[in-house]
Amino acid sequence: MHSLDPRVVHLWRLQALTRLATFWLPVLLVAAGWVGFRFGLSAGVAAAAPLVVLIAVTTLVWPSLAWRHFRYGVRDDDLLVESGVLFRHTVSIPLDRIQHVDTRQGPMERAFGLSRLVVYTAAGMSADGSIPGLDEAQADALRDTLVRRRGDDGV
Amino acid sequence: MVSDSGGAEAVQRSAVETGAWRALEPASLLVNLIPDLWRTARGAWPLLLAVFVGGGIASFVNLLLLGSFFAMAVGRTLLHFLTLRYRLHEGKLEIQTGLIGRRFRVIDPARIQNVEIVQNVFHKVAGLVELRIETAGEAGAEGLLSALSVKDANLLRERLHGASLGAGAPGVAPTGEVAPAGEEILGITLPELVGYGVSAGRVGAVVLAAGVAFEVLGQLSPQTMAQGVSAMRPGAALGLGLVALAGGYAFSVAGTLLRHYNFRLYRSPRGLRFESGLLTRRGVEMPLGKVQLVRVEEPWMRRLMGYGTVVVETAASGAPGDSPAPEGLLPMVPTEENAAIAAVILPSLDIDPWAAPLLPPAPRALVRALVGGALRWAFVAAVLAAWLGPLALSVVGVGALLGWLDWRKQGWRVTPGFVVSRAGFLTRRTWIVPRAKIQSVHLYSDPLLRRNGLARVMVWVAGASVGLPALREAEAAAIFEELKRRPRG
Repeated sequence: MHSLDPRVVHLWRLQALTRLATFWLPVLLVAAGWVGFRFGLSAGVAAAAPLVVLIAVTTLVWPSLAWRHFRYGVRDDDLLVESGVLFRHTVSIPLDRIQHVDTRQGPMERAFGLSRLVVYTAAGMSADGSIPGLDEAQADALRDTLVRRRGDDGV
Repeated sequence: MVSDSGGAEAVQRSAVETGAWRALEPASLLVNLIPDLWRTARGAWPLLLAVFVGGGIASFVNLLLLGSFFAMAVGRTLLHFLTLRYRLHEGKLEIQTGLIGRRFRVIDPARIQNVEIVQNVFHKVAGLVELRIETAGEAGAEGLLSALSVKDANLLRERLHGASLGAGAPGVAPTGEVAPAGEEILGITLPELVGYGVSAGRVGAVVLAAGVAFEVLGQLSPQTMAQGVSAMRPGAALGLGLVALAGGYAFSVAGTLLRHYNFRLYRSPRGLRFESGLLTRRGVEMPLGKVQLVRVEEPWMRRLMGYGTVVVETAASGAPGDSPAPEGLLPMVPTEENAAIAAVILPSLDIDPWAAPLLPPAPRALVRALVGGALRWAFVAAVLAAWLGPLALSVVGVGALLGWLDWRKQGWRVTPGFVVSRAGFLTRRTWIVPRAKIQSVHLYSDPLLRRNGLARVMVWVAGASVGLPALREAEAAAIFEELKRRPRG
């Protein structure tokens, strides 16, 4: 079983910080401001402080934990992907059931030289397996390996 | 019968076989226009109501809007007839349509999940049928030829089956003859269908209809409505409610008869064939190899009658909004025949899920079931607390009790060829999944499950997923490993 590229931890932190700056920070400021206005400055700070700590921890620590819990491997017959810190999910996708494989890159992923591999089967509900944070060349090679396998697709 | 499939009528070689582009039958203009106008009227019912009830300039504007909608329906039907062309070319069905945005579609017979021939009253008058072809692609029929002659539709179906199964395969009529329907496996009588309609009664539809009626009456005559409501005695209100409920059940029974009247299931070397319908007759052919999942649903009322409903799912998505997938629904199957019917649909079935003992969920899953049941009913209890006070807490107890009963009824088995799962106390559901159709296997756990040493396994097939009850972690991991392996045989 392989781990993701360690650079993905920095990517996830950056993505979390972006979410923090564009959504959580304004919400937090408005909420703390309202509490401060109604109950005094110290109450506003007291209300905001635990949230700031919680957000900081999840922004800085969570990506490391998520990276540690993410594993994937291509075996003889299947692709195995393990993920999740609290909600753990392991999926086995038989190689001959794979319909198509995407590699995707957003602007931040491009900046880090990383790619996301997305695997689809005929189950059709959503992507069955997704491997973020792969080195570009590694993602391309893995995609080629996965689509090379042909067989009964079960449909 | 939808068509002349009961006999082995020889079908003459027609233009379908020459590979030339063909148009729909001219009578399709009428056959397609009437349902389209009906759909338009149904969609624009608020406008219709406003035209009839209102007056003045607003009503004139509404009338203009309504007229434009109907004109669009006429234009759509005309355009559809003028631009749709189809042909069989190199064994594949090709359909092109559209004027400005043209669409060209090629359907490979090997990818066809089922072929449906539909004949409504307008088709019947014109001597036509509609051919619907479903593959595993987008929702709805990928190939829809709305008005073909019976002969052309049968010939197309035979050719597509022939190309799908291979020349000389059993069930393929080599000369374009229409294959007989096959051996009858199940027929559903009128009283059984009434039973299905009653047990599928939708109280929600009654509430909705009553709400709309009150709203319209209130708008038409607010004073009369207010007087009527204030003067109504409790007994009269109860009577009105009972009448509305009976109306709901009658509505449900009528819908069932329209949809499933004279239901027949046949088995032939080509697969399964479902036929049903009162005004609109449907005939669906489904190759056995395309079956992804069999689900048996036994709501409590139907179970008391000694029946269940069998749903056969393929990778076809069905029409948007259809629930359950309409292509393989056996509305009323006697409980004692569940296993036999399942064995017909899945010939290699190596377990009788109603006779063989299923394995129970993990004992510690009971805590989760109790808490889950209580939480599900906590909202109802909170609402009722305004009237009942502390007595409303008993609702939470009922929720927990239902959770326990549901936990008791859960069961599962993994055999060399199949996965079986069962759940539900009020509505009992049994899923049978051929392991050869599994697309992916999933193992889940969350902090609460892990705290109790539990995990869940779920298998996905094309278009559906089935979960096993919560199991001990080690057991779930072993089942996950087992299901990753290919089935024997």
